[in-house]
Amino acid sequence: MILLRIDSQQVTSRLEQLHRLAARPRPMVQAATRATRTLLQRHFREKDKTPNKLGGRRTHFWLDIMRSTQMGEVTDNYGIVKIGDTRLSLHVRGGRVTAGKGISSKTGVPTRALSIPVAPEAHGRRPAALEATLGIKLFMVPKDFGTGLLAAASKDGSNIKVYYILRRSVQIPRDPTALPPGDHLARTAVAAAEAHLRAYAQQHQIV
Amino acid sequence: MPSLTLAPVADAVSWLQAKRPIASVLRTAEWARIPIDLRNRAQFSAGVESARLLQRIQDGVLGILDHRPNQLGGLEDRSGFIRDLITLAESEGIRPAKRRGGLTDIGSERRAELIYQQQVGQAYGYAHYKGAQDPDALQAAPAQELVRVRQAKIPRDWIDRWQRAGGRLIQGRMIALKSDDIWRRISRFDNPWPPYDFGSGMWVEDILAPEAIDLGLIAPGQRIPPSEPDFNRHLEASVTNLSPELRQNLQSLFGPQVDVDANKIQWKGTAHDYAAAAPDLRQTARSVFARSQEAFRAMGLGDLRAEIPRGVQEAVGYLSRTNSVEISAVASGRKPLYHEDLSWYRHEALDRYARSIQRRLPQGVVARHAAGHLYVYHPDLVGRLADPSQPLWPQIVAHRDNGLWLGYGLQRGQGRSASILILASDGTPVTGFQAPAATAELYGAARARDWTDATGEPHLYRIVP
Repeated sequence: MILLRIDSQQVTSRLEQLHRLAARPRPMVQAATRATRTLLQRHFREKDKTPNKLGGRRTHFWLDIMRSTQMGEVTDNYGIVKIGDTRLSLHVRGGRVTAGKGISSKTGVPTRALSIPVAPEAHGRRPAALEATLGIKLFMVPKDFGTGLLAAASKDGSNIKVYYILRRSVQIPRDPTALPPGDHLARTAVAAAEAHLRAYAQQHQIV
Repeated sequence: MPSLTLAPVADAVSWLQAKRPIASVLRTAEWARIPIDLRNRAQFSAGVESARLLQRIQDGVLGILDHRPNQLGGLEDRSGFIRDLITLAESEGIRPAKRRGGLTDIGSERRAELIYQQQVGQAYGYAHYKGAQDPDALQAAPAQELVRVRQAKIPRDWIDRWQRAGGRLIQGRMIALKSDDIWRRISRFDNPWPPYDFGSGMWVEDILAPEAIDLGLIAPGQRIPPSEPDFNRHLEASVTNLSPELRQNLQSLFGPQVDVDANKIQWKGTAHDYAAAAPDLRQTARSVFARSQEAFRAMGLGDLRAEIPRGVQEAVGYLSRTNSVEISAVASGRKPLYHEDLSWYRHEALDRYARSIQRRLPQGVVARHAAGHLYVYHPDLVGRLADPSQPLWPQIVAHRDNGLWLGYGLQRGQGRSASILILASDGTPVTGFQAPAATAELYGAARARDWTDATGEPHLYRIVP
């Protein structure tokens, strides 16, 4: 799945010029693609500094994305940066997530609802993991088919806390900052290609 | 023009696919003693013998890396993987009775998260390293920098670790050529790629050629040779540097999962083979232990030779237990030889004891006494240590006090040794021995396992400073 094609006419023509200058373009394409990867990795690192909205313990989602940001195929003509973590797609494009794609660890049948964390303790945890970790027993407060709440009583039984709401599906909004701006990536690629060629030219006393 | 795609990273997937689930009692420090080529190809988790759990780790991490959908079209992810490890450990009954919730509890969230971070991180770390070894990639980015990507409450002092490992700071930064051995030396896991330690907040970042030249790391035009280890060709580890005794010990620790011959050692089965063989081995160990203890205790005062002081009887209870554990370890194929000087017993009593044990021993294992000494040996195992051109029995007698043959990895008084205590679960020492200092953890684990299997009660070991 292509997440981003860096597609600026000005940058493309500059890269084509550089391409013609290079005796063997692949190392230059490597440099451009690697610089692009580094920019992406730094961008994800920066995003990871912001805690999650719910305030629960950190899962470092964006660091997972950073680690999975790797070099793909590099040829004389193009280079690919691959992101191996599938969860990024929803953040880049947004979309609807629907229940029924996994097996419930409780019932052993396809899930009928998504559990959406609403308490800090539930962030990044599936209900069964929350129960085991906090030593609580969740119970369901059903509403309509496939919706409702998952809650648990406090240890002394004096109050009830809601940990998840249950939904058949949920719309994930697009995060416009999930990736750095395309022109920033393009400029970085061009700058790396130019620096690589400059070093090559100095080495061979072309300039 | 570079483009950005969401797709499985082939090198990360191949790293995982090359692994097979390996069950063992070994903890982290003991696994660190296993040859790197074997360790990298094992899907293991410290102290985990459950084949189902290890298979779930392997399948789960592979699913995360290769984007393989389940039968409903859903994708594996972090939180589902962690939930499954927690619930599976509970249903397998492998959580410890005490200290739940910590890293040694395989059913804790902390441990499951560590497994996720470590497994996925190592796979992407390997992919990062492998991709960097392309000659054009090395020309474009010949060096890399160790950078902090996550702040920790109590951060490790990586600059100190870098310098202690022989690394040079360049303008205060931890930068080195990708071919530099520093990357292996800073790693707890002996691999030149990140993560370099458990729970590490460090990763690496490319340094492109122009900057590497400016920093004086390379001269203009200088090429850095690739240094990729032959990971995909090393399906086995050379045994050149492993003593026959250590090979023997690895065989006893991993059972049917490992194949050790004169030249190489390699995984041949999986945790499922280990799990299938384990009940029979435990049954053998317990049955031989019980019979040996019973027969030993049956030798009463009347069986002692006249000149033996009566005080010796106080030692009988202790000896009956330790001897019986060792005999059961030979019967289970984990020790080559058991020997004890029991010359204070009359010949007939010793003969009765040896015959009694022999009836419970698996086919091929021999109990024999001569001149007041009792021997129990596993011909296949002692055969690997013996000179094949000479008859076996005289060699057994000649090596009866040789720690190498007795399963301790060390001939007394030779080489650097460490003292090891075997402890009952309440911390009481039950026995002790000397083992090679470099691999003491492996011998401690193996001999503690002898006690656990024979008695049915958990035993631990401690290396005495």
